[in-house]
Amino acid sequence: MPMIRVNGVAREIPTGTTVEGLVSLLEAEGGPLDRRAIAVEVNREIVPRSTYPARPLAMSDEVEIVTIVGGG
Amino acid sequence: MLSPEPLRIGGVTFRSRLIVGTGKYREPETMVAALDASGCDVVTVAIRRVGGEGATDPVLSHLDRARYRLLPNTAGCFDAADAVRVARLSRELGLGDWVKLEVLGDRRTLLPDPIGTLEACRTLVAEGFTVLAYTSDDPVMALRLQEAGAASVMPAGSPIGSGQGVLNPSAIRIILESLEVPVIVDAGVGTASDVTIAMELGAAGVLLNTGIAGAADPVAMAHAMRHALEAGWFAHRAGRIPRRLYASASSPLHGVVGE
Repeated sequence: MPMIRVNGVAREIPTGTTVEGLVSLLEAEGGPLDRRAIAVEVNREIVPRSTYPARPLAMSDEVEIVTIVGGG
Repeated sequence: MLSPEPLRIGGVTFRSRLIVGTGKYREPETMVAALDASGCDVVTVAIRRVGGEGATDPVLSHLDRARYRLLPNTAGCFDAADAVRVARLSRELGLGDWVKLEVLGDRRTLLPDPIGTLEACRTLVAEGFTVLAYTSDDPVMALRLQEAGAASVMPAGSPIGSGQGVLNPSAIRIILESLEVPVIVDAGVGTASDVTIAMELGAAGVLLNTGIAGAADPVAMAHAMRHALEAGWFAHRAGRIPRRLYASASSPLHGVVGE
């Protein structure tokens, strides 16, 4: 199982997991994630929302998943 | 009733010259009421990693997106590359191509890193972003950011969240005289008079967060900030009297009874 980093934390994912699959895994653990309210970066490159299901993740990928919060 | 002329940044017109942050409110309902009382059109937001709990920040779900323009910041970034990444992520989040650029240089003072800020500003402008650049009150740095294509330069009155007001009015004045882009005093506002002072100097607007969110009564403070901004805007245009060392009587000096 490939080891990747998600928001700075190491985790294993099933082989063949896509960005869409990873978001679904996170939802299973932490509750729903509105796809319109998140943005994803893999290895410092933006992954457009429409391509989540087509973007496979591989060993050592660095994934950032962000949203909008209050700030100044 | 008279009201200040609208603010124009990057070809867009805003009715209010106050930009208000959405951080640090104790309850979202207080934030909503405070934003309403402030009269602002633009509110700043931050981009952060999705937490373990998933979902989105409850604060944001209370914001009326039809009423307020959301201006994403790059707060918390300590180098140009990260700030550029955050700006790109905010664009992907549907927040458009406006960004309040912050590249910080020191964790204790949260003062900006001028070199990183300039580098990120150049990159983002080249990528089509409208950059509102947070900077120190250094007049040369402000000029450099304008040259780099910033749509607005936003010097700090004093460190973020410090409530010390405008510590160096002379530097802010020099920036205001030197720049053509709108200069918005960002950071350090502690109370309403700080906003008035910034506007009396001739600032195009004021950006603040903690001054409202951290007040004992944020809604009342937001109301005060709105009026303080108008007071300062009108006072600047009205033209103040010079400061004199000695008195100048307001009533005629001749014809006094018993003269």
